[in-house]
Amino acid sequence: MRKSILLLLLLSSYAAVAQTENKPVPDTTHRSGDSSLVSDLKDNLLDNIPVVSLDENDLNDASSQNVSSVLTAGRDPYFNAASFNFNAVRFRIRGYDADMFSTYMNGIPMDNLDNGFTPWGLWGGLNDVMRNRDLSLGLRPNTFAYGDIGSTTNIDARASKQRKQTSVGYAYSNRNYNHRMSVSHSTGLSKKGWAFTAAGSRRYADEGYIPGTYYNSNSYYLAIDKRFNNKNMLSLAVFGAPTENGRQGSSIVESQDLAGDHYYNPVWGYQNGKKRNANVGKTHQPYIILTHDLRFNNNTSLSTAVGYSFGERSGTGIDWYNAADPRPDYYRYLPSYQDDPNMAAQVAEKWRTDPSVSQINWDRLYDANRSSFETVKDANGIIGNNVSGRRSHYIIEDRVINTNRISFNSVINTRIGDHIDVTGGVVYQMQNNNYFKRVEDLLGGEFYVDLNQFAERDFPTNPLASQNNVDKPNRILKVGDKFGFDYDINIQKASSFLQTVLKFNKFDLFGAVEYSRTSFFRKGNVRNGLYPESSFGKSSVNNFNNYAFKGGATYKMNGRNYFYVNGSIMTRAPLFDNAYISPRTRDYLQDGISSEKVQSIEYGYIHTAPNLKFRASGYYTRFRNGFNVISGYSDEFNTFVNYALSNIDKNHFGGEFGIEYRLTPTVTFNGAAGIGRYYYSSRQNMNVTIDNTNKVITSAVVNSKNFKVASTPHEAYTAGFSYRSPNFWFVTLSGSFFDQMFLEFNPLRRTTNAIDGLDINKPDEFIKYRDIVYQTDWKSQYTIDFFGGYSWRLPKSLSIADRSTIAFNVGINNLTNNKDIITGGFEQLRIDNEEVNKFPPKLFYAYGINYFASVSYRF
Amino acid sequence: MNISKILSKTGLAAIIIAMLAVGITACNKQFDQPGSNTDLGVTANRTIKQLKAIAGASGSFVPINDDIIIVGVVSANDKSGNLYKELYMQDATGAISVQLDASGLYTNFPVGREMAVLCKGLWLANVNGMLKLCVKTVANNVPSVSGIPSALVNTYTRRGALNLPVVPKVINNLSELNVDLQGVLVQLNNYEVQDQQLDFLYGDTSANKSSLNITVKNCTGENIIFRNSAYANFAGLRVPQGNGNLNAIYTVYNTTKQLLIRDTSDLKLWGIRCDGTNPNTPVVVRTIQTIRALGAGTTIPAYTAIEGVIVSSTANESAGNYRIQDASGYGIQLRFLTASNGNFSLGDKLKVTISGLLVELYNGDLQINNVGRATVVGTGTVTPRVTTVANINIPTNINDWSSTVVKLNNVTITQGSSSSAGINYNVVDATGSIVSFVRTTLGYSMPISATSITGYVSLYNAVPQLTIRNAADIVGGVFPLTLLDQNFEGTTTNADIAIADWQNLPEIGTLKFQGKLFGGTKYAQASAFGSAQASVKSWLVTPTFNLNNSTTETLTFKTKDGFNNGATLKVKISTNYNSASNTPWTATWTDLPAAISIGTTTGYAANWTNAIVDLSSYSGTSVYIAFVYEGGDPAQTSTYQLDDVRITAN
Repeated sequence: MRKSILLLLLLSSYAAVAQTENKPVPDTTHRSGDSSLVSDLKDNLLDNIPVVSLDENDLNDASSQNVSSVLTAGRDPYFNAASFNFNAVRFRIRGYDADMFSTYMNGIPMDNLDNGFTPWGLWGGLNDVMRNRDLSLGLRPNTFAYGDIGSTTNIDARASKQRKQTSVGYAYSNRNYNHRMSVSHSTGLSKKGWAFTAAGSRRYADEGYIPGTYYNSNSYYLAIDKRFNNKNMLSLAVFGAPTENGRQGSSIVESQDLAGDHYYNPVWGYQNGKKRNANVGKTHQPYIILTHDLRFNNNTSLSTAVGYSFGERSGTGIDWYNAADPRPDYYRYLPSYQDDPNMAAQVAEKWRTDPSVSQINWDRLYDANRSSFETVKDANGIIGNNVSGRRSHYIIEDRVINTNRISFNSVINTRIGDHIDVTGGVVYQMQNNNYFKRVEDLLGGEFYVDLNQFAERDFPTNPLASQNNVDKPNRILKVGDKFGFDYDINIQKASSFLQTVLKFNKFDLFGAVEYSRTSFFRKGNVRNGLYPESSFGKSSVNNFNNYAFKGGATYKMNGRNYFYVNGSIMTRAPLFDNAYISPRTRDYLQDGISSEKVQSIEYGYIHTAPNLKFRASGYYTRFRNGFNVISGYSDEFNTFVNYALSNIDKNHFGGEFGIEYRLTPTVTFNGAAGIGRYYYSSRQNMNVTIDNTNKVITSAVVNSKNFKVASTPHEAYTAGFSYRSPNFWFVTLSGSFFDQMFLEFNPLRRTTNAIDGLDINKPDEFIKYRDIVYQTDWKSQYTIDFFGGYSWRLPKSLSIADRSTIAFNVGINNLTNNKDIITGGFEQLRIDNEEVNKFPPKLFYAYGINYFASVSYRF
Repeated sequence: MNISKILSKTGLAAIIIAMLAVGITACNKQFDQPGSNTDLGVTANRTIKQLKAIAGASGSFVPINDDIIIVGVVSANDKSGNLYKELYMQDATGAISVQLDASGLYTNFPVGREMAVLCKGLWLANVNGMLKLCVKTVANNVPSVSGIPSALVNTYTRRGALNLPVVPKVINNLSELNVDLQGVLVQLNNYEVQDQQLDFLYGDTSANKSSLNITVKNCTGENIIFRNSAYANFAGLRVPQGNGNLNAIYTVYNTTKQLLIRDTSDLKLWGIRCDGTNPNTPVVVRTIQTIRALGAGTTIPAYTAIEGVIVSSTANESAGNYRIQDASGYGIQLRFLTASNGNFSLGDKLKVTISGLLVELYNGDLQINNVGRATVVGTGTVTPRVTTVANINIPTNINDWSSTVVKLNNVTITQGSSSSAGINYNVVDATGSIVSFVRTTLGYSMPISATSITGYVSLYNAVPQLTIRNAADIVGGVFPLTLLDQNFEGTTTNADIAIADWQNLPEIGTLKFQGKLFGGTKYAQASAFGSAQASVKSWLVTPTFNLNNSTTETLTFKTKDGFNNGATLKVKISTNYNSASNTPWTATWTDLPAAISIGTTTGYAANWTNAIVDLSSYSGTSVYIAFVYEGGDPAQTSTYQLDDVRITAN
């Protein structure tokens, strides 16, 4: 049995290089006792990854923003390590952004068209039915798509591909959620050609690892397959994961120190003795996929799929009007703001002891709203319509993205003669996102008014400027009303590709080409008072035509040694998120918006012997002419600030090494190392605008050359030993080491203006210069992880079915309980040149010791 | 075991899924709303008056070490922005200002809300006579009033019931405003904004953002100011025009009694004014002729304005002074309040409200002082009256000419006395001579003759003068010779000065004059600072020039000093220096009497000092001019900057 596992591992690793049939991997490992357990465990870990909201006012889909780029545990020893052991520090393969990895499900491309991320959360908790995966690393060819340059994964979750079994599981963890209950049932393909799968899970925690966070998620999955004859099969899958979670907000070192906790979370406070979180993420975007398989003959098959998804994802936050900042860690509320040491000590003492100071003071917000009796004149745009009542000064707003997506994909695979495999396909995707804000809770008041208080302040003589919607000025808002901004984005992408793989005794060769056309536009649904001319209606349509070529060769020296080299050149249309500088208020585009150019080469050596698997590879990737828009809340302007960056060039290069060495029949050594250098190679152009006025705050060149790509270690190493008992249990202990980690830099601090007047020849001024300009890095870190499992086949007398198994799994990460591992962070957008540390960076830390224990019963 | 037969697997799965569905519907979190917070939870153990009794003299801070609790009602807050980080609370005995370091205080402390202050640990500060309950912070040994930190507001204060009445105390006579009433909401009956401020806005809407005092008076002449922040949201509104009752917090600034309004609704000044005028009376535009006819010492009636075109240039007038001339052919000088000076331009047509202002004499010329409000209503041109000096000088007519534009033909011009402020020229036509003062700020030198000269007449001690506005006022000017004109723009920044025919020679030490750049202009600089030479003496010598063919030669240059600690810059002249020797110190030199910048001990002088030296006594000779720097490091390291060295002649 063990031999067959190894063979399978070997095969799959080889498959990634050399192309195999696109058949589902038969689950021969069911009773093997280790491999399926290991992948279960990894899936569990990845299902419960720490998710932080990048900023409490982050408008993006935070749940995908900060998640490791690879969530698919593969069987390549390096890839395994990258997705599992390196996860604690948000390791990103080759330093690529998340948009360089793509995922397909039942043939449908799943990546968001707006930001390129894979929305993993949409099928969170459904691990049981997402096991059949086909992963293609790097530039290698695959049978279902042209592919991205990071990795491309196809999840085949169709009912007929699921093993006939019922599975019931429970898991306990101290991470984002505490409990997970899951159930799945698959019938297998009946003699009449039907197959059904139903799965559901519930994941929840009243309080997660981070104080004040909670988690509440349900997932469902229903699939039906019908095989009509030996040529046609139709598959339908419907799934969704309605999830609500209280998030973690970023914080600075001072407040973390006062709280005595690196996991200090400023976004909650006590309300009637319960912890209430102000930043609540909510998602429910069901997906429907219809797939048709047509097998013309033994050599040719056509797979066609259409997908539809709809629903909202949103995040709440506090909005306020002419009132004091409600955030407890606003810099003026911290001890460091006090000049007087006595007062600073009193404030610090309060911070340490009084949660009404160190956390959100909900009582005060309610009190303010209840104490405020005001009259709004000419309400709802009706002259003389005066509305009086308790006008809320603080509300909970929900920033909503309502998405509709249609995807169509058709891929043909055919084998010509003995040596040629051809894959071709056409893909069409359309995504429409409606962005708006909605009043979630008036916090004791009776109404809120749709006004922009900052424009009110900046344009006192222009009453229309302060109207978020000039067509309905002074609108009175109740719970559920849309306000602030309301716009749609519409993105369409059509592409076609053709790929040919040639296989010979000593060489495999492949070449592929893709052509795509992307177009997008913005449609404003309200006329904003600051931009009456450019906020309402449909913007001009932006079109981009893009091509991609890739090709490669593998030299098969013998059955154990392989050498390969692959290369790719491509252009990529800019992402919508990086094209519009402030889509909330206007349809202004970045100057010179155009496609990004990406060139990549990878090469390597693979050794596969019965006791030794080894891969060593290298890569070099250039990104040219990139665009980015960073939006963040600014204390200084009390509104969103948009940093539109262009001319972003990057170089990524490095090596990847993975080894799996079998020391004895039961003991295996695993090792992996990723050593890379990812840096910006150009001076970027920056335009800074803010949402609430029409000013361009600054326009500058960012001296970003040779700054490092942040938020991933450039070097990561792991080594571990596994013991696999013949009696169906195993344990693994591994240690990982991370180095070369950098802080995301604020471009504004790298402009000439930021250092104006500093004479770097003077030692004290040089220190200031250094503090402003140099990129922060942090010290290397290590973690020790354990995992183990046991699979017990129940004796007939106890079993409710012919065959049933109970599997136990436990994974413990960060055994040394190291709570000082910084996983990411960013410099605040507000800067003070005199005293750089007045607005210090906000940092996130990896969890201390954390575990995940599960038991599952299958029959 | 036959469980499998009893319970089909599909059935089990269905049950579990159903259980999960129950879980889905039961998962929405609903939060209780907090209870209303209207119970103070504490009671007063002192009245506000008792608390205030422990305060010290102005400038003092008295710590409150006892468990003193005061309870009162919020009478004023930051809602309109007229107060910032400050509240007033009052009880039956008095009122006090409470300083809180937070914005948006009105949201939790609306007017009429009961509140308590737990005073222990706070300070009672006396700031220019006003008592403030605050936190004392000390920076650089200087104590200052700070607000209670945001994080501690709930520690030191309590909030109670809403909507309690705050009844203003009616004041019948301003002398009733005594120390106990400080901070108390008072009511004054039958008051109105004084005439001369009727066209004012409540606040200073200029970039200065300074606080603005508005005086209100009653019909018996009692008056008091109310003071408005430029950050108040009503700062841009016009003050109320009529007579009526007003509410305000009574404050003091040392011995000056003041009022503080919460919002414009505190001023119900809408009735008929003391002099019987209706507050809705429109402002009447009168001619300057009628205003001049009122005579010096007369107060201009309410609702009066004048409209005219500016005939002066700010470059050749005192700051804040404008001359306007209207269609009546008369002109007058306006002197604006600093905060109201709109930096108007020659040719702007102004509408100026002058209600209640005084017509007065300044240096013998009529002006309207303290002008507070003017709006530009357009532009215009005034055609100058062509006349003669003799006409202007007729004593009985000078008031008709004053502040109006005239033109004199065929004049010759000679230079008279000068100072750093400017130069007096004598303008002579066929009938007589008139003085024309050209300010340095105009940056213009008069010619020696002209076809015509235009300007406005100003009176200086009842003697008419002619003031030009710009170079275009001189037509057909014949300008003097320029024998030397060096602005150092050709030098290399931070390098020793090397200009053809100039000599840059150290006599003692090695220091030379260097070219420098600041603010877009280059100049010559000498400084012993950092030279590490105990004694330096350096010469910057001009080329020789010949004064044979000219008269009334004048040397002008300008200097700035910096970090002055005793080094000197002197300007000398020599008639026997031979430049081939390269040793100017061996020749005979005479110090010239010139104004050199001096006395700037920290930093650099803000403005250039202009030197004007008459060289006419050297007419007919060949001369050299030298600038000689003497100093030493570290004792006398003063920096001198030199620019625009010119010699002009006729």
